[in-house]
This record gives sequence, C-alpha cells and structure tokens, in this order.
Amino acid sequence: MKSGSHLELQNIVFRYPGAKIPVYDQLDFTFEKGRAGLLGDNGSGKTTLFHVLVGLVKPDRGRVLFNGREMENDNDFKFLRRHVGMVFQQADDQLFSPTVIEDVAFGPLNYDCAREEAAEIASRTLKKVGLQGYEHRVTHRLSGGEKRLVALATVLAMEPDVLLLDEPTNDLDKSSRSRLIDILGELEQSYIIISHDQDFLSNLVESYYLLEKGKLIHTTDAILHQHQHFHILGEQNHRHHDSLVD
Amino acid sequence: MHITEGVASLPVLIGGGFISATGVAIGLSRLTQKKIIATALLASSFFVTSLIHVPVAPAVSLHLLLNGLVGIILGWAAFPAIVVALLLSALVMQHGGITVLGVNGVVMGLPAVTVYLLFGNWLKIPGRKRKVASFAAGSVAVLLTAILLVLAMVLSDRTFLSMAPVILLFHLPNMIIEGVVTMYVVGFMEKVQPELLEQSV
Amino acid sequence: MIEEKFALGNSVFHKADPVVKLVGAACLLPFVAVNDDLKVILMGLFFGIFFVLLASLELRHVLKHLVVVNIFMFFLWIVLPFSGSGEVLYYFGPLAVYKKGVELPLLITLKANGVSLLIISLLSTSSVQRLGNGLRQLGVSVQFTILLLTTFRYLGVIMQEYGRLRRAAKLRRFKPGLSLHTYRTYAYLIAMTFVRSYEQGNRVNNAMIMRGFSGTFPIMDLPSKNSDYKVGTLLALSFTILIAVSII
Repeated sequence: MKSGSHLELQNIVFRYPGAKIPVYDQLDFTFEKGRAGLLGDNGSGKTTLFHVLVGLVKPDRGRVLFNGREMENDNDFKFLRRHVGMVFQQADDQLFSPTVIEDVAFGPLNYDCAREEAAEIASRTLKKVGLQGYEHRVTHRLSGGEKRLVALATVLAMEPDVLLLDEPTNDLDKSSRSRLIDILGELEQSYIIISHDQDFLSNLVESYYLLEKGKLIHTTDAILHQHQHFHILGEQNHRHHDSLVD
Repeated sequence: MHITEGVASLPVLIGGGFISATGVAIGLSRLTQKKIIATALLASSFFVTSLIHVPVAPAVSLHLLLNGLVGIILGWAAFPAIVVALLLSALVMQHGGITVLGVNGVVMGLPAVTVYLLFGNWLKIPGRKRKVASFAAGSVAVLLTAILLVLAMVLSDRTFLSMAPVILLFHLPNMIIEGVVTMYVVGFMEKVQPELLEQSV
Repeated sequence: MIEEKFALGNSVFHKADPVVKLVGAACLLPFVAVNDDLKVILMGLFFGIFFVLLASLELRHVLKHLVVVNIFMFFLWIVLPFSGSGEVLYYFGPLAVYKKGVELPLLITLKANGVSLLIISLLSTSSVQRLGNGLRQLGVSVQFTILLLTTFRYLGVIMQEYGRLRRAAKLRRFKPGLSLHTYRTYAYLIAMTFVRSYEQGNRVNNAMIMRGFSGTFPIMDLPSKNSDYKVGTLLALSFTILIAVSII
C-alpha cells in the first residue's frame, strides 16, 4: 500500500554525547519525492541524519514528519519504517540470517506475511536485483558486490515508498557498481543516496542536499559545475577530490 | 577450562544443569530487546578471543579464559553469553562437551557473574578504583574457575583429587596474567568506547 | 570462517527433522555419559560409530575432531593411573599403577569418544541454524535461540576482524614474548575486537529494527517428513537397546 514519500525535518538540533558543538544547528529538511543525493564532508553527520529520519536517533530538539504527520513516539516510527527502507553502509550489518532467502524474507515475514508469500516476494525481489537462484546461498560466503545487492534486496522486499542508501558503492568493484547503477536507475521508488562517488550520483539523482556546518542546502546539478580551475592534468581524463564549493 | 563428556557424574550433571539454567534465565530476563543483539556479538567476541594463546613461560602458551572480562562487561547477561559460547565451542570445535554444558556453564559463568557482583561498583569509578577492580575481576575469576573445575571433578569421582593440585597450580600464572590483561583491556575500552563499560545488567 | 562440514550431506540424518534428532540425543547422550557400566559404554561407542558410517561422513574430518577430544584424555592418562589408592595393578618402576586410576580414564575415554561420535552424527548433521529452530520448537526460549543463532552467524566475521588486527600488529613487528608489552598488545587486540563487535552489534540491531524486528526470528524452512520416521525409529531402538544392556 503506497503511503507517500514526503519526509521532513524541522529545526533539528543534535549533539553527539560528549561533543561540544552540535552537529545539526536548527536544521531543516524537506524531501517530497524523486531522487536526491546527500553530500558532505566526513563527520558532517550524513548517516546520523538518516538515523534521525527513521527514528534510530532522537534529536535533542526538533520534529520529524512523514507525509505531514509528526513522528512522536516509537509506534509512529514503526509505521514509518514500513514505508522507508534503509540500506546500511556495511552489507554485513544487514545480512544477519544464514541464507539469502531468509534475509530477504525477514522484512515481509515480520510484517505478517505468510511463509509462502514471503518466499515468493523474496524470489521476485532477488530476480529484480539480478540474483535469481541465490535463494539458498550462505550470506557470509558471498562476494562484496553480491552482499551489497542482497542487502538492497532485503530492503526492496518490503516495498518501501522511499529508500535511504548510505554509501552504496563502498567496496564495490567496477562491474558491481555499474550493475547497481542500472538497478537503481530502474527503481520506481524515490530515494536519497549518501555518496562520495559523484560520478555515481550524477548518473542517478536530480538534486543534491549539501550538509555543511550543521545545515542543509538544497541544490540542483547545475550549480555544482560552476567553478573554474587550473591544474596540470588539463585535457586528460582526471578526477577531482570531493569539494563542492570553491 | 572445561570438562569433557563423561567426566561428570549424574548428580553433578543435574546440579550443574540446574544452576546454569537458572543463571541463563536470570541473565536473559535482564536483557532488553535492544541489548540482545549486541550481547550476541560480544559473545562472539568472547568465543574468538578465548582462542588466543598467550605466553606464560618460556615455550609455554596458555589460552586466556576472559570470563572475568565478560562478567564485568555484561553482568548477569554474561551467563547466557558464556553458555552460548560453550555450546558453540562444543559443537564447532569439540572443546568441552554437550552433556556437560550445564557443568561447564557453572564453572565459567558463575565466576563471571560473581566478579561482576563483587567489583562492578568500583569498576564504574574511573581512575585507580577502576584499575584495581578490573585486575581483581580478571584474576579472581580465574581462581574461582579453577576451584569450581576441581570441585566438579572431585564431586564426580574422588579419584580426581590427585589432579587437584596440578590444576590449581596450573591456573596460578593465569591469574596474574588475566588480571593484568583485563586491567589493560578495560583501560583501552575506557578511552575508545566507554559505553561498553556501561552495558552490564 | 566457520564451516559446518558435517552438515552437508544426503543421509537420513541430514534430512531428518532436527527436533527428532535433538530428542534422541537428549536421551542417548546423557545415558551414555553418566553410565559406569562398561557394556553400556561400549554399546554407546558402537552406536556412535554406526551412526557416523550411516551418515556417510568423511572419516578424515571425524578423526580430526576426535583428536581434539583425546588430547584432553591424554592429560587424564598422565596423572590418574599413578595416583589414588587401593588396589594396585602393577608397578611401573617405582610408581604404582592403581586399578581405580586406570578404570576412570578408560571409562571416560570410551564415553567421550562415543558421545562425540553420537554428537557428530546426530547434531552436527544439521546446521546450527536448524538446530536452533529445533530447540525453539522444543520450547527453548526465543531469546536464547536468537542469542545462539546471532552469535554463530557473526563468529566468522569477528574472527576475520581479529585476524586483521593481529596481522596489523604483526606488521608492526609484534612478536609475543614474556613481557608486559606483549600482554598490553594482546589486551589491545582483545579490547578492539570487543569494541568493534559491540558497535557492529548495535548496527545489526538497527538493521533489524528497520526491517520490523520485534523480538522473534521467523522460521523459514520445513524439513522433509520422510527421514523423520526412519531416524526416529532408529534412535528409539538404540535407546531401548542401551537400557536393556544396562539391565542385563
């Protein structure tokens, strides 16, 4: 049952335990639908932002809203989590069942699906990510790329309205990466991706959120390329480091 | 240190099973749903690190028990964590045994919880008190383990009495080393992840 | 990596419902383990060997496992025969070899090997995960089974983690010796292993919460019913024989 993908943060203030400076300084965030990237320096609090959105971290101040409704207690967030899926930075953290099918069926089973139906959903989802036949493989023995795709499948199986992906290209080789781009490209869901890999993002997302100094700036692609620079590599193929504003 | 299959007599088996079951039940009842997964990962760490061999004399290495450390980190939850580790140890590595799981649970788990009860308070106080508590927890746990091991054996068959001095002596250097190691481990945890020292239930 | 070597196979033991095997093991194992009747112990050993052969397990691996068990036995054999009192069997130079000191390790050695073989053929022929599910069906608390299954699932991961830390120390020329520095280094390795596993535990818990975890692990597969009758009958028969032997 579709629910909508409108996520909102209002006036969020949060300080890590023991830290002097809050990581979010009255931060506001609105996401309606579509595909966006979330960028920021290491330690700027990108992952924690996801955690605040889904209620894994409680901010010191501020409100979290989902489709206009404020998420006030754990029950509210339980509802939210049926519609918002999160793919974690490390696949191993999400693959806690012995076999692939059990991991992928875990979500549906927890949401009162009958066993056969859950198994069928799991198989379908595995096919969607190109892993048909992987049902009875042992999760621990898969390759990095395969684990990443299974992790994605475990979340897709719940048919969320929005996906939050945290550094999905971590530890992926070139072919796994392009496979992931293809799969994500075809998804119907809205999603927000945290990534340092700007090539990856530019293939998929329509806009960017920049997390800087405790606040979020929303911007579209065009602005990112408005800078001039000079260096010795000039005309040759080259990569820049991840700086957004010169 | 554990006993293998066949060493324990029926009364010791039943007694050990009963005490272990109680310990596990108490430990589980104090674990919230939030903590159970982290406890499992810590039990996993206990399994892995208890395989470490440390030199105790020229050309002699012993593996560390670390039940004192687990006791002060997990509190009562150390009992189920240790029993699970022992069960897996028996199934996967043939260490210890399945029929004697209850007995071994008492031998390893009871000292863990005991040192938590004895030294847990001082452990919460940073500085010298924490250092002393961690050393004491590590070494006293080894002492209690050795005593319970001997007790389990001797209660099963008096003939084992001859092995008692050897076993106890064997554990003496272990006591000091585990005291030192536990002290250092707690010191490191304090700096790197102090949350871990507040998990005990 | 924790390999469940014995769990792969096609024998009746592999296909049987873990619940049947667990109940059978719960009867057979303790009966052999606490018995002092040599007849029963030998019968138990015989069943152990028979079941292992029936399960078509690779003898190479079975023997490797038995070696571990018998190393412990070795320690018993060094001390016990020469200690104790009572009847003396013979003299080994100046040392007396007592009857009781030989009987005890002998019985234990036979028992330990027999029980281990029974465990390998009955319990190790199912994956830990299915054993855990079987335990739950038998009434073991959900919490305990979650603890068991999750601890097992991440064993390999933690081992790799520790291995990485250990190699890093080696690369910095760490050589274990009798020194405070050695103990400090090991303490560091232990501390970091615990810290990282604790942090991973929290992340895994978060991942579970995100997928609706509410305290139970749903069970997925259903083992076949065929082998249950065969194995069930076999185990019941074995247990009956053991009891009969003990009475004779």
